[in-house]
Amino acid sequence: MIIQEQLRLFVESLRAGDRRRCFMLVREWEQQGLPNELLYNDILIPALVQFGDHWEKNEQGIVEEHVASQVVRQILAYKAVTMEPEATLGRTAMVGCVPDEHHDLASLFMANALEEAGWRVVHYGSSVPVHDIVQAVGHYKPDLLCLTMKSLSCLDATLQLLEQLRATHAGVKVMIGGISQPSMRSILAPHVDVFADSLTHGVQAAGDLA
Amino acid sequence: MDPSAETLSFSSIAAADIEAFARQKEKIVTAVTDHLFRCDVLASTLADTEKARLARECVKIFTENFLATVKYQLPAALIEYLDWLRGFLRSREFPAAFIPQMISGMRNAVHAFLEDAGSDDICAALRRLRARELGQAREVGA
Repeated sequence: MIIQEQLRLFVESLRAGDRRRCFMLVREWEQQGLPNELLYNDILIPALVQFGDHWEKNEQGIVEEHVASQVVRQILAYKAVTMEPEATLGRTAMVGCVPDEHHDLASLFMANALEEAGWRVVHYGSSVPVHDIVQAVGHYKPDLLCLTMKSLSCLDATLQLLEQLRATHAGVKVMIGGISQPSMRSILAPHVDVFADSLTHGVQAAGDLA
Repeated sequence: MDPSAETLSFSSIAAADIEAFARQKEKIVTAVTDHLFRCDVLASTLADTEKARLARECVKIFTENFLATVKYQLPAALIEYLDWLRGFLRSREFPAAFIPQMISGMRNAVHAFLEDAGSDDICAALRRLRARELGQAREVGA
């Protein structure tokens, strides 16, 4: 089955709110050998983008968008439990949202993808204040702090976080995903080692940083 | 990029004015929301409970984003957000006057609450933003 057809089937099942069908499809494709990278990049992420676009255009309600997010969240949890990384890099990545950011799905994708690439991953999700993230970096001692950011209003707290991190844990590499605006990137750039343009780019860039 | 995004600048706004705006943020949000709910042109739209809820959320988020983009000199990011918001509201049948009115309300509130801190430069930036929004609304109407 070609990937576009798989995406169509998955979206159709999500639209129907049929999570069992979504899970069955994922299991079926897994048995057929579909790599997680393709599942994430060519099916799950495009499906979420479609749902986001339809919500934005008022073609569907917020509940449908949340149903889609929850199904994808469950699939990522399943993949996190069952995945077997090919090799271990011996490096730790702490993954989560910037402070004040509540959209944490991108961080879940990144946590799974980094783990599959051999990283030891500590995933903290969202809604963690600046002080606690800095403290956790001291506790887990990650080689890489991988942050995701979507909302403009998180900029202030993100800068505070990065400034504190550089002052207290200068050796930790920092990667941020989710920002495309060049002007926003330029504000954060003095404190950031790499901006991830996509999930695949993020994993590659993390490998290069390590 | 939209040429007006390049001409819009926040560079003349003093740090003290931005701090004053941040201190008065809650009052500004309340005043802008009140302004919208007093507008005749928006009355029938905001009589709808869900649209009224969205309007309140829009004011909160716009205020946060305005503050962040002014503080870090990111006019293009604010323009990008307003372009997104315009499409979002249009698809929910909000009148094109909503965003210009929201900006007018903010200008009035800034003038009222930041008098001692010097509100002129923030008001000037809001006036340019409003002019751009009115231009966009005319384009949609054309």
